[in-house]
Amino acid sequence: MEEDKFALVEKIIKDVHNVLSKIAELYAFDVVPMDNNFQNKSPVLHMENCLGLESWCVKHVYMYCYTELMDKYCMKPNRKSRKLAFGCERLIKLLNVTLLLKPENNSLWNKRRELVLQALLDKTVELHFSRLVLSRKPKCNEAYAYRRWVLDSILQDDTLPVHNIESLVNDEIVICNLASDKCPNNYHSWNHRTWLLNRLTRVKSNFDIDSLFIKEYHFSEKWTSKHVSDFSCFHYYQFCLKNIYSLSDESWKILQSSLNINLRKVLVKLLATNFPKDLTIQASEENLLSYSEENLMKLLLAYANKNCKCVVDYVQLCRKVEILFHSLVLNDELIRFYKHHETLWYHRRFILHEMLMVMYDHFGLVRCKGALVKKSCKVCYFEELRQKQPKIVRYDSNHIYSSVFFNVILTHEKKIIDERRTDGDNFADRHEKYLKFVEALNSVI
Amino acid sequence: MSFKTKDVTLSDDRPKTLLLQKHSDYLAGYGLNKDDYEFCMTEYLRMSGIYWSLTAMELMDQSSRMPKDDIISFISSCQDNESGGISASNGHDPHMLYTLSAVQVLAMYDRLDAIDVEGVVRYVSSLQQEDGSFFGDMWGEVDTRFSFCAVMCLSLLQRLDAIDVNKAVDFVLSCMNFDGGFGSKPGSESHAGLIYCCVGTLSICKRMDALKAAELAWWLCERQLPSGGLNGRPEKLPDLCYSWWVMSSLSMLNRIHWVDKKNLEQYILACQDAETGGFSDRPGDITDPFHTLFGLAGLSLLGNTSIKRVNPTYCMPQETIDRLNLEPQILQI
Repeated sequence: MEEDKFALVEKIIKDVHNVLSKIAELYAFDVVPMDNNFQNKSPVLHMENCLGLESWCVKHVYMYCYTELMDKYCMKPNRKSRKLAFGCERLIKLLNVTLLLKPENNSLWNKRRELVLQALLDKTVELHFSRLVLSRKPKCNEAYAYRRWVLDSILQDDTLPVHNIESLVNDEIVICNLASDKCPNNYHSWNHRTWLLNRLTRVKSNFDIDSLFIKEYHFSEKWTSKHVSDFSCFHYYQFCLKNIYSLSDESWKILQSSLNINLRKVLVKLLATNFPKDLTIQASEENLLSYSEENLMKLLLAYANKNCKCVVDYVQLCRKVEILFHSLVLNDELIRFYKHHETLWYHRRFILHEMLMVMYDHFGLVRCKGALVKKSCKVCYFEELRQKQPKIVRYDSNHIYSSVFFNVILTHEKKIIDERRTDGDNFADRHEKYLKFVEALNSVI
Repeated sequence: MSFKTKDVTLSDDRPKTLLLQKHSDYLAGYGLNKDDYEFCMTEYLRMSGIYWSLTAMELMDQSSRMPKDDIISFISSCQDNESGGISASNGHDPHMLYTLSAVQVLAMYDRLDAIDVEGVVRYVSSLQQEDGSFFGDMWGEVDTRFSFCAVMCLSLLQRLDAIDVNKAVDFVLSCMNFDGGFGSKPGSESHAGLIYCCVGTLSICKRMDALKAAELAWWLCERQLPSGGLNGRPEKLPDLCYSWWVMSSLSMLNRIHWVDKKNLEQYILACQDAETGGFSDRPGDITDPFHTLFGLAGLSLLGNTSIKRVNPTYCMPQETIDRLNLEPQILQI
C-alpha cells in the first residue's frame, strides 16, 4: 500500500517535471478542487498552457517532497551548497513541486538562489517559474523578492541590450497587472512595480526611463479611475505623478501630446472660475492662456520670500502645478461619481498636500510640529528641528494666505466640501476637519 | 459611517466575555494535536509560532503549560554557528525575523545564555547597509520590518552599540510618507503593520520626536470602522491583528484615547471562538496563535486587568521589559 503511494507520488513528480519542461509556454498554475481520485488517472493537469494539480493528492505529494528535501538537502551536514551539484536534478524537481504548493517557504527559494549562482538553474527559467507561483498566489512576497533578486542580477550586466531590458520590463508589468487585478489593494504587486521603476533609473545603458515614466503615468491614471477603492494603486499613481514633475522638455512635449486634454487649459479654467472676487484680477481665460509660465506662476504666487538666491525654474514649476490641478479635477469627477470612497478622499489629501508644499517651498517655509518656520536653503528638515527656529510671524503666513494660488484652492475646496456634504457623503466633513487640523488651515477655513 | 463601508457586523450571539481558560487550553493543545501536514506547512515560521504562543501564555500567566526545556533546546539547535543567525526551524536558513523571535522567547524565559549571544550580535550587525537599512538575510531583501527586528533584538541583548543607530533611524525616516505613515521601503504605501515597526524602531532608539505625530495619529484613528474593529489600510476589512499594530502605535504616540475603546473591545471579544478557543482575524473565522496573541495583547492595551500588562513597543510582558531595564520611549505630549 505504502509502496503504491510512493510510486504514485513519484509519477506525479515526473509528470509535473514534464509539464514544466515547457515552462516558457505556461502562464498559470493552480490546485484544482477534487475530493477523490475517481478516474484513476494522473492528477497532473496540463491544459491551454496551464498547469493544474488535483487537490486530493496535495497532502501526500507535499509531505513526500518536503520531507525528502529537508532530510537530503537541508539538514547538516548536507546543507553546504557545494554539494548541490550532486543530484541537483532531483533537488530541482522537489523544489518545483514544493514551492508551487507552499511558496511562503523562504529557505526553499534560497536553495534556488544557490543553484542560480552555480549556474545550475537558468535565470530566465526562474522568472518563468516564479511567475507561475504568482499566478496562484498573487500576494506572495517571497516570490516577488525572488524575482527582484533575479532581475537585479540580470540588470547588473551593463552590456545588456536595451531591447532585452524592455522585454523584461514588459513581462514584469504584465505580471503586476494580473496580480493587482486578482487581488485588490495588493501591497506587494504595487511595491514590486515601484521597485522596478526605481531599479531601472540605475541602469547604465541608454534605456529610456522618461518614456516608461510617461507610460506608467497614463496607465496609473486610467487604472485608478477604474479602481476607486484600491488605495494601493492610488499610491502608485502618486509615485507616477512625482516622476513626471521633472521630465525633460522633450519628454514633457510627448506627455502633452499623448494626453487628450490640454493641461494648461485645465489649470486656467479652474483658476478663472475660482478667482477671489475681491481681487482686481481682470484676466479672462483667453488672456491667461497667452501668459508665459513665468507670468502665470507670478500671478499665482506673487510675492517670494526666499532667503536664498536660487533661480526659480518657472517652466518646471508651472508643469508641476498643471499636473496637480489636472489630478484635482479628475478627483472632483470621481468623488462626484463614486460616493463614500475613503480612497478618493485620501488621494485628494495627497494632491492638496503637494500643492501646499509648492506654496511653502516658494515662500521659503517648512511646516514643523504644526507651525510654519523659515527654511534655510539646502538645510535638511532634521537640522531645522535641531535649530528649534521660532514660529514665523503672522506677516509671513499672510503672504501665503493672500496668494491667488491659495485662495483659488481654498475656494475650490469649500465648494466641493459643501456640494458633497449636501449630497450625503460623510467623508466631506472629515475632509474639512483634516484640512483644518492636520494641514493646519483652521485659521483660514 | 455609510452604507458602502467595507466592514463586518457583529452578531448578537458573539462572545462578549473573555474566555481565558479556553485560550490557554487552545494554545497548550496547539503543539500536540496537529496532523503532520499542518506541521510541515507551517515549519518555515515555527520560531515565530513559538513566540506568539508563549507570549500569549505569559500574558495569561499560563506559561508553565508550555514545554520550556524543549523550546530552549530547540532554539539552541536553530542557531547557525557560521553566521550566528537563527532559523525558523532545523534545516531552514537563518533570518532576521526568526532571530528576533528566538531572542524574544529566551528573554521571556531569562535564558539568553542558551544561545551564542555574540553570534547573534555579529549576524544582526552584518546585515546593516551603508544607508542604515537592514537586509532580512544574506540575500539582500530590504524592509523596515528588518530594521525593527535588528534594533529590538540588539536592545534585548543590551548591544545596540553594535550598529549605527543614527543611520538606522535615518533609513526608517526615509520611509515616512506625507500622511505621517510608513511603508516597507522608501516610497512604499503607509501600512499599519509597518507603521508599528517604524514607530517601534524610533521608540527603542528614543527618537520619537522625529515623527509627524499629529498626522500619523490622525491616520491611525481613521482605521477604526463602525464595527469597532480596525483595518490596516483605507477601505480594507477589519482584522484583529490591527488591534495590536494600530493600538500599540497609538500607545507609543500617547494617544490611545483617540479610538473608541469600548467598540474595539467588543470587536476583539467577538473574534474569540467559544468552542475551540483562540482568536481569529474576524468573527467566525478559524483561530490561530498569531491572532490569539494580538487579541490578548490588544485587550491588555485597552486596560483589561485579567491579562498582564503588555509593553507596546516590544509586544512582550511589561515585567520582562522591566527586568531587562529597558525603557522604550513614549511620546510626551
